Amino acid sequence: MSKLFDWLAIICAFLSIWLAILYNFIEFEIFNEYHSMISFVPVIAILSLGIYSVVTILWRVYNFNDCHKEAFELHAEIKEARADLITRGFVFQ
Amino acid sequence: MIIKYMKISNYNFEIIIIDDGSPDGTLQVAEQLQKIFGTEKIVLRPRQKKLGLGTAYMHGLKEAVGNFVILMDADLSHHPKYIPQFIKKQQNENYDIVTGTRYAGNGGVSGWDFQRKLISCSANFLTQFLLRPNVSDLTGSFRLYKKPVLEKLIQNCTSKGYVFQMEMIVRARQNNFKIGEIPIAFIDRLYGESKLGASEILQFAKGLLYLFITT
Repeated sequence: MSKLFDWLAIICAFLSIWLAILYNFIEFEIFNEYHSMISFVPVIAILSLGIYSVVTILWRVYNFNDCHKEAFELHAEIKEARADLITRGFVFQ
Repeated sequence: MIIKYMKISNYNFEIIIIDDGSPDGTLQVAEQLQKIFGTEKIVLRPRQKKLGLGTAYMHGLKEAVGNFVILMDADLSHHPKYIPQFIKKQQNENYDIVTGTRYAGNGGVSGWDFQRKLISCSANFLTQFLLRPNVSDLTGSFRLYKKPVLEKLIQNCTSKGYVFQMEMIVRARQNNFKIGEIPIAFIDRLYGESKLGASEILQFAKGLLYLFITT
C-alpha cells in the first residue's frame, strides 16, 4: 500500500468519526456540551499542524550545525595533499 | 586524501572515477593521479557526455570488484575521513547501507546561509512527515552499500538528479534493507557553483509526489 493510501485512510477515518459526532450518530453528554467547538475540530487540527511544522522547522534551522571547524580543517588538508601530490610529480594547471 | 585515510585504516580499495565530459579538466587530473598511484588503485571510466546519475553509478558498478561500494562526490564536499567510520559502522551491525547524515548528531553543513538552510530543513521535514522513512537525511549522496544491494536498487530507481538519492533510500526501506547512519559535515562546493533554484525545488516536489504515490 502506498503512502498516499495510508494518508487517505487516516484522513477518512478522522473525517468519518468527526462527521458522526457532528451529526449526532454517536451521542454522549460531553459532545452536546461542546457541540460548537466540535464543528471547528478540523480547522483546529490544521492550524496546530501548521504551527507544529513551522516551530519544528525553525528549531531545526536554528540547530543546524555550521561546520566552520571542519571546513577549516578541510582547507588545511587540501593544502597538505596538494604539496604531497607535487612532490610525487603532479602538475597543477 | 582517500588513499591517505584508507592506508591508515588498512582496507583494500580501488577508486573508480566517473567523469561525464566535464569541461574543467577533471579527466586530465584523474589521468595524472592514475599515473602516480597506479591503474590498480585508480580506475577511470569517463563517458562522452552527461548521461545522468543513475547510469553513471551503473557504469562504475560494472567495473567494481569489491563487496562494498562507497558513493561520494569528488569535489571534496564529502570528506574521506568519514570512510573508515562508514566501514566500522557497517561491520558492527552488518548494515546493508550506511548513509551520511547532515541532520543528526554532529552532522551539519558549511557555507549555507539562512535561506538555504530554511529550504533544506523544510524540504526534509516535509519528506519525513509524508514518507516516514526513518532516515534523517534522504538527499545526501555519501553512502556505503553492499554491492548486490546497490545493484538491485539502481535497477529499481528511475528518478534523476538528487531525487535519485531519495528514491534509493526510500526503496531500500521498502525492501527492508538495514540502514545505518553516520553524521557528516557537508562542506558545500569549494569548487564550482552549488545550485538551488526554482527548478531544483520543482524537481524535488515532483520527486516527493512520485515517491508518495508509488511507495
